[in-house]
Amino acid sequence: MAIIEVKDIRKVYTETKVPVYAVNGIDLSFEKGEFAAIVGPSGSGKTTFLNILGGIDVPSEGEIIIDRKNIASLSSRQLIDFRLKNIGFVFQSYNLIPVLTAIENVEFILQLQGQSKNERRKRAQQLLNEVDLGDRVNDRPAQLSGGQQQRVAVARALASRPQFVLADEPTANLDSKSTENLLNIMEKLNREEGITFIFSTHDSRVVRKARRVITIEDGCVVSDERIAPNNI
Amino acid sequence: MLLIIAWRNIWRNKLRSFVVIVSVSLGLVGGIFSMAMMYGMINQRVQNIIENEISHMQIHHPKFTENYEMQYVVPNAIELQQKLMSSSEVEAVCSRLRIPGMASSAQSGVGVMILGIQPDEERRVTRIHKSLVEGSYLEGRRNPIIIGEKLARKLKVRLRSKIVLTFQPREGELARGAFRIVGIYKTNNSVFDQGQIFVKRSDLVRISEYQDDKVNELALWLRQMDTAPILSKQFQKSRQDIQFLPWRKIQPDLAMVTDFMAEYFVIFMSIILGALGFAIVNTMLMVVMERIRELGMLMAIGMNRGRVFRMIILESVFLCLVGGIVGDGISFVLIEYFNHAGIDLGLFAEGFESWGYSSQVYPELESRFYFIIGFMVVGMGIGAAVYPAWKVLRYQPAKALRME
Repeated sequence: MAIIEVKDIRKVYTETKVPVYAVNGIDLSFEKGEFAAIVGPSGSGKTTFLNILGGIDVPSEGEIIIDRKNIASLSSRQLIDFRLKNIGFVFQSYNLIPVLTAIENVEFILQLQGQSKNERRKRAQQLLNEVDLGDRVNDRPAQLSGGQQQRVAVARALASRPQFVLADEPTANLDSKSTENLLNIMEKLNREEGITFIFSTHDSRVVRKARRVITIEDGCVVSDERIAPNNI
Repeated sequence: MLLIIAWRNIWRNKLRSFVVIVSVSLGLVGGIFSMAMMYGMINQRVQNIIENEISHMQIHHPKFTENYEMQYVVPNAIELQQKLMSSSEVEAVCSRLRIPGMASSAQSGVGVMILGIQPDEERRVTRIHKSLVEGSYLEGRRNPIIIGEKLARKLKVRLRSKIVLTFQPREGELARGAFRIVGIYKTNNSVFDQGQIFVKRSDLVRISEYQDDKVNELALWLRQMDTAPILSKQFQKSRQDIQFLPWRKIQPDLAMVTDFMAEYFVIFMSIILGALGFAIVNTMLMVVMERIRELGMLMAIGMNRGRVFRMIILESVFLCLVGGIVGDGISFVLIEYFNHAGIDLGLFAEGFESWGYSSQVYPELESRFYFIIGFMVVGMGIGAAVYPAWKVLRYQPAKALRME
């Protein structure tokens, strides 16, 4: 059963003389447990589409049905609340709050949801253990490597038990080893816990791991392939 | 956690925060210390005027203060004096004969206010005897007189010189008497020093050829200065034929100044904090615009705009509070020190004394003003952060994340 349904999504920017169609009629659906990559050249609209999917940008037209709600019609306040409870985010950079430790960054989401201190601490520790950072919980982002920071971001994204995690170019600033580590962790979480990951990426290493590759060009889906990951 | 994030955020750029904190502190020190000096000067003026000139309360015939005519006496003054002394609120009472007159020397003549006193009573109510710079306090001799230093200079007389006092004891009559200067005093009020002279009341009565003693003024020294208004009303109920005047009614302008010190303090500090607030607006704008992507990320992951707003406000409040506490602390230390050591403004002594103010200033400030400053600083912090916070909240998360 699809957890996300995207129906004829369009995003038009009218600030310039000639309107720019960043997303121009996309229809897609995503199942639970997918490990999907959205690829395309720069300016193809993949980040814009991901942002619309995550409710941090509003489409000009179309519907996005998540958990039987059309999030495109939600108000700004409702969207924030929806994101907090249903969607996890991993960005390319500026993922973490620099003044909080790793565990505090993960707890932050849980505090926004109103969980008690003990529950927050327990869950945050568990998640950091899952991403192999159980011994770095009290380090601030500046004391962690890029790859470690992204792993903390993954732990934070999972803290609220979201329906799916959106990752926008999560490996863009990482070296190959860190990328491999990060992807392995995400793949493991996807395989063992059924967490849905949707990436926007240029990185071929991410594409190789994905079991579904959606190619976007000029705001439209040009191909949508379900493939077996090259993980041997 | 908002509190923790806000507090830690202000230390991300230590230099910038340090500059803001120092600005706020120095601004506050300047404002608070200026106010403390003014407060100290005014309080000293009130103390001086009460101790040397008017005491806590005065009693007169209702018509006496119109023209200071000797005929308007306080009926049964001695009996009233004894009754007042029996009150637990009253520490001392003295009886006086006050009359305007003329003091003349061989070189000059000046209009003066002649105060005929009982020296032993008077020293319990006023501190003139402690203001003597030469001579003694109306002791011994026939027709002794104490005059102010400025009057002595004006009349070109000195200790042991003789001056002639002329006054009108009753309608159509003049009385005249020669007095020998036994003491010269100096207060912080050169106008008072020039205008006020002290003689024995018995000498005045004798020169006036009155049959019996005359008292047209009673001056009271209370145990607590603040009880003057209430006591005057209480005493007034028992005697409708005379006037009980607390010092605030004798010197209403000074009373008004002391009453409005708090309001004046708030206005003065508001001006200083308003100016500082603009600097903080600028700083907070830099702080939030530098972190626009981070704030966009926070909104993206589920931090609502209200929380983002509160976080920015808190950062500004914390910054201002630290500056406020440092400023309050430095001000407190400075005020405490100079309250004991004093600040000598002798260079401007003549100008100060012509207005009745001492040139040796002892700054002081009530504790409540430090708390008022605390609230005002918080208000400044909130006010300074509103525009920067509003500016950031206008961004959609997607747009904020795209910012460089």
